[in-house]
Amino acid sequence: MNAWRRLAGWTAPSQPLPRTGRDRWSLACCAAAGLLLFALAGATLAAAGAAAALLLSGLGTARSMARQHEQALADLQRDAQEETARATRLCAQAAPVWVRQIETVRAEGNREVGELARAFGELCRKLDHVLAPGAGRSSSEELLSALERNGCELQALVAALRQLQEDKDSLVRDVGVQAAQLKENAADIRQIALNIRMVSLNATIEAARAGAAGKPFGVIVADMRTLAARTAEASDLFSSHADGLHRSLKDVFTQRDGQGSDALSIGAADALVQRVVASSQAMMRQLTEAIGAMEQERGKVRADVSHALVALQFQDRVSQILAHVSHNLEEMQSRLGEGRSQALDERQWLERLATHYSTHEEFANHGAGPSAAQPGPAVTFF
Amino acid sequence: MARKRIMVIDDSVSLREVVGISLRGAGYEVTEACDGRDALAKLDGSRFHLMICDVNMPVMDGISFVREVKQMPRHRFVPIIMLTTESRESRKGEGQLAGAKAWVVKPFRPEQMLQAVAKLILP
Repeated sequence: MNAWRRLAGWTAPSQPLPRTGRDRWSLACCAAAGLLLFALAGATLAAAGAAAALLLSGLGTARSMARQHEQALADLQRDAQEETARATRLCAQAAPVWVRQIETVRAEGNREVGELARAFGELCRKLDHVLAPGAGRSSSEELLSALERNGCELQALVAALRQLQEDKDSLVRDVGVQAAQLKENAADIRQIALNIRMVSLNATIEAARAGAAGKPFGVIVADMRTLAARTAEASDLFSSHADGLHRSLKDVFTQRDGQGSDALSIGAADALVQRVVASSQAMMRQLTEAIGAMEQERGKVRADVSHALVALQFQDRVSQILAHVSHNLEEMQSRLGEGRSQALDERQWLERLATHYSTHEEFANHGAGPSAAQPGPAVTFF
Repeated sequence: MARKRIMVIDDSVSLREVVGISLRGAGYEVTEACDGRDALAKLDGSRFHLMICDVNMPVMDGISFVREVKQMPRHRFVPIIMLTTESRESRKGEGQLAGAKAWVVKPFRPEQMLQAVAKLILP
């Protein structure tokens, strides 16, 4: 009877029931026909026999049907056990594969994101160096200051060269004046020599008039004439040397300075220095402005870096979640391998899963209460 | 002036790097360790002004590491910040009981970490 009760509610879509409806209908028809004949035929023996035969036939059919149903039930139970065993074997074999896949993803993710974080760290260090407060500005200001200093020194050098040129011109002029003065002095001496010569001539005449008495005086006059002649020669020589000295000095400066173009060269050098200094100062001002603009961007860059640092932490959470899934799969595999799948209670299993969680995302996915699924305060001091 | 030294203990390379970027950018000197045992080895003969430690790590977890450090006369007064994805009060209680000074939940913003460090670091 127990089998009958079970059979009454049994349905298995994958296994058609063996003539269950037809057999029930046949049994009901036989019983109804027997009873009808018994009622119609009254107490006739033939009718009673027919009715009995019909009833026996119905009972036989019922027994046959019960045997068939018990057999079907046994088949279905066997099929179900085989399905369960197959599913268990499948899970036991698939679980380690899933675990290996997950661990591969974890390992590769950790390694690659680690490398990415290292590269980002290096980039940040360089950015810090470039964007250090006032670093670029101070160096550009130092450069600008050095440039201005160098410009001043170059201008001082040009001024010194110009002064040197003026001193040289002044020297040549002075020497010229001195030479002219010397020539005038030489002319005066020559005039004196000429006067002496005239005096000696007069003395010669007077000595001749004096006759024999003037004869010794004539010797002195001759000496005076010789002295006058030699004085005139010395004067000419002196004048010639003074001219020669002035000319030589002038020639020396003129030849060395390239026919007097030194003043032009110094002027050109001065102009060039001023142009270079002005151009460099303009460039430095542009550089300083660019550095100023970069410093204004510094805050924005730092905010972007901070945002990227938060985003880079995703790998840690992903890795932890995957580790927990992997651990749970290993545990399931272990249980299935020990043949304790019958002992698995869904609610207990899910509760065990939750004990490993650490991220609020895991609690949220699990369907935990809002308090567990929400991230707590970022920082707690004890 | 010598830079202050901080040890960062986390099994995640990317997390160590992220924390390192934040701290080095603020002028601290950073030493990294991949788990509690590695950190204990690196403590030997060194002096740190602060430690930042993950909770869930292989070999030796963060709570055990804090307990070990608090037994070491040389390092027992070094403040320790726990850095973890865990935000359950029960876990925080474990950290506090072990001797940690603060609990920072990942993902953290660098400014938050630097504020906590500035507040706790030894002079």
